Amino acid sequence: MFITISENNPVPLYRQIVEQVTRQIILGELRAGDPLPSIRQLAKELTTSVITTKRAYQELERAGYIYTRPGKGSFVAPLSPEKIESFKREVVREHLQQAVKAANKVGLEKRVIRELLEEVMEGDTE
Amino acid sequence: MNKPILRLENVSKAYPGFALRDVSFELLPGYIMGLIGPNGAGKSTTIKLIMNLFPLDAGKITVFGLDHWEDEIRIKQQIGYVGEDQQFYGEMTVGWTVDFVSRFYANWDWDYCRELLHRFGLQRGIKVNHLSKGMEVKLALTLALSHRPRLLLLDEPTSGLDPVVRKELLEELLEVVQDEARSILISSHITDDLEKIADYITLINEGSIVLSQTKDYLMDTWKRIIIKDRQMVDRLKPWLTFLEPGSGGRVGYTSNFLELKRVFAPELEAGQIVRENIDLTDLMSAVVKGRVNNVDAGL
Repeated sequence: MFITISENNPVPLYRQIVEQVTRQIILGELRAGDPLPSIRQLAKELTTSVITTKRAYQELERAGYIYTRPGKGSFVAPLSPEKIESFKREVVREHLQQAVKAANKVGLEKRVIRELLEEVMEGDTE
Repeated sequence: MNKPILRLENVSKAYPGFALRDVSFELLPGYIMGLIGPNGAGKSTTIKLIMNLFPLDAGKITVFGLDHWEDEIRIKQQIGYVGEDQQFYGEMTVGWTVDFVSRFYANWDWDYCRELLHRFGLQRGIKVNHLSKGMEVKLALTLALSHRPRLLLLDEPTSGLDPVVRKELLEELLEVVQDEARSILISSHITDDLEKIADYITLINEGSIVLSQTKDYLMDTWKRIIIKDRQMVDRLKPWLTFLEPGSGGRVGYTSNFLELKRVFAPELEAGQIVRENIDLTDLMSAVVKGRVNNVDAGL
């Protein structure tokens, strides 16, 4: 598991950890049953507070990405392909929501937003 | 397991010109607490009272569940202390100093001590007054850690150290709390990178505790608020603890962002109000300069 966090990032430190672990699980870099470093080990590696890493793990556990065995540690939860698919959708939906918010703020019409999405997707596949 | 390692209850101490009033907080095993505040706030006095370097006027200090006055000897065997100034015999060597201090502790761990000396690059043969400031602090930390204390008290340990040495110290401190049984209290007036590793922050000003909370909670609830829409200024005024001078009331700090976020959700969404994250330096100046009576303190 490779994670980097930055104090200069406006996203809270625990969220940065959650997002990176989630991404690695969704991309299959972390697999079901893989052990995660202990809360305290991770705090040491990232030079951050124990409470911050604890909060990240609690969040990951609540969302169903990991599970914890008392005395044994935390592990990546087994996820069905449907579940992975729905996590993927969730992550992308959040990003799109941000984009739509930004579009609404500057007063773009829905039609234009759709056009832009098409444009971006076309640009990406080239 | 969850009994506090350290508990202060209504601790008071007065000197001519300074008084510590009703200081209460506690520290659980396995955590690091940063004790912050401006110069002269009472940080060192608090730590020295825990160390029993002078008597309390009122209140109670409990360490490992024991009374810090009656059980001083038992407690001191399990405390590590690094003060503001290192008091060494300058003409003696590192090796002599370590041997000398080791004799005071029944539970001195020589393997760990040698490991620390090695890791910190401290050679036994070198005279103490030939050590740089950074090496002196490393020696002090080695002496404070080698008996594997359950409570480590560090009074401004990093002031005057370069960032490389500070980073090394932080890593060593995080190593100390790995086994979930030990705790660390660090005081600092410059809110430097030490606070990166702090789980709890206790802020002291003019001899009183202003707040004592997990750092994560403080970072969630304290925000810098910028009022873009002039008409919002009056409505937001009661929410702001400290207004930035020269901003015409349009930039300030809130200690209650979780509530503010609910009440002003549409305005935040529309960008009439903007919030920014703050760091502990901002928090300290907001509290020290601000109207402290507005602060939602020490919940």
